[in-house]
Amino acid sequence: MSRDFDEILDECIDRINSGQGIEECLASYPEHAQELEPALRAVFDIRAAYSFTPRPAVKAAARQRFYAALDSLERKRQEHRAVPRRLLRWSWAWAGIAAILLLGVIGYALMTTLAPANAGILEVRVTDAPPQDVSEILVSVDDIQVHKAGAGEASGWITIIEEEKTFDLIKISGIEEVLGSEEIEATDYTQIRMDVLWVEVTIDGEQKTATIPSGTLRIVSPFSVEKGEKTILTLDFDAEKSVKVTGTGEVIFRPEVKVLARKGEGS
Amino acid sequence: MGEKDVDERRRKEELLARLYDEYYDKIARYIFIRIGHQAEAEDMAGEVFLKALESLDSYQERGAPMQAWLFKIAHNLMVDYVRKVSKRKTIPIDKLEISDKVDLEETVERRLQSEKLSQALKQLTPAQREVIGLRFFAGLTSNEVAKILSKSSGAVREMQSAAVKSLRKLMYEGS
Repeated sequence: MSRDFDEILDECIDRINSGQGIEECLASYPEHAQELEPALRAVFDIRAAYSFTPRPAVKAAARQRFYAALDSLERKRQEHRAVPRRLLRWSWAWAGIAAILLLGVIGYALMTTLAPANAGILEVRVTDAPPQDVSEILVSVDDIQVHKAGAGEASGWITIIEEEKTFDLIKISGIEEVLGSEEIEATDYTQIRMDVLWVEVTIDGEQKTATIPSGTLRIVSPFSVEKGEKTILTLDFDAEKSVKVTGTGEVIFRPEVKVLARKGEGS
Repeated sequence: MGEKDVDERRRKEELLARLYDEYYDKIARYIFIRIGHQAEAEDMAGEVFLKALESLDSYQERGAPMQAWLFKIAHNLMVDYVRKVSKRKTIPIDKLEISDKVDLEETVERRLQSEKLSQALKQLTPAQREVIGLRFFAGLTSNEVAKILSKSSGAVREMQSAAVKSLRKLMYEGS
């Protein structure tokens, strides 16, 4: 094959990779169609033969391991820094300012009565990177739950906070705000979920109610609650990615959140 | 590690995390076309990102884009894997893994086609197989492939054309 053909074939493969069909490539190079078409058909057949979709459960488990490794790295970095509690902020995931919510959960030993000595506290924090021209992002959630590792999908959820809680992702940047606390079993957990009730965003001085495509925010992230210890969960909200304004001015809230767990002060 | 280094490191981690969802699948397919085992390919794809996290300090943004760097890691993992396996095996049709939800007739058709393609791929040189994997499944440009394989873009295009020609002959003409 001539060198020109090599370049043409290469360009056509780029175009196929970007979603174009064989016919479009052939239309661009009709003088090479006789040679080009069988080559491009072979490319398509090869892609189709090996085009498998990785199993979602396997991919999710690998993703969990990856994020657990990221969490571990950031925890170690934080442990090496002496930062006043008031100024403590988590800027790991995406650039920006930290808006922090705390959810306190107290862990207790299985099959023992509740006692301070057996308690562990789970705190959830949120960090946030606010988009430009947004002065307020009011988010209202309720029914905050965590899921016990290995438990059934329906039975493994434990409610931490039932009542509605509202917070401003912009206003609480750099501050820790406690949503609530609950005593729970000292064990491993893998998920957090909450119902997002409503979101109001103030853009250029105008308040708009955001569309929430999915009312339930569910985050897969492993963490442990230890006996006699406080565990802090930081929900790293990226407001810049979570809040989108469409061409017609509609505001859509599709939360992008990362959960980071670390040990805090004792219960 | 100074504050600036920490921020730099975090920025790279953020970039790596952003690439995860899109490139996990591509990396799994790239590995699959080389080793022919779906479960192993999925596991190794996850391993690529963990390895990338471990060696993130060695990644320089001046060089290849991070996507290309990930495939280099995948390539190295595959080399180790192939060494362990030591000899290439033909994948028997009855052992070829398939998705649960695929129609049986289509599955048999795909299996036969995959077997034929698997045999055809074995006839290529290792470098040609790399190019096929990186261009067709990873979606990298020939310039990016050239950086990974330490070859010129022209050489990559030549290998690509030769590989496609060979595969076409082997798959459709049987020679």
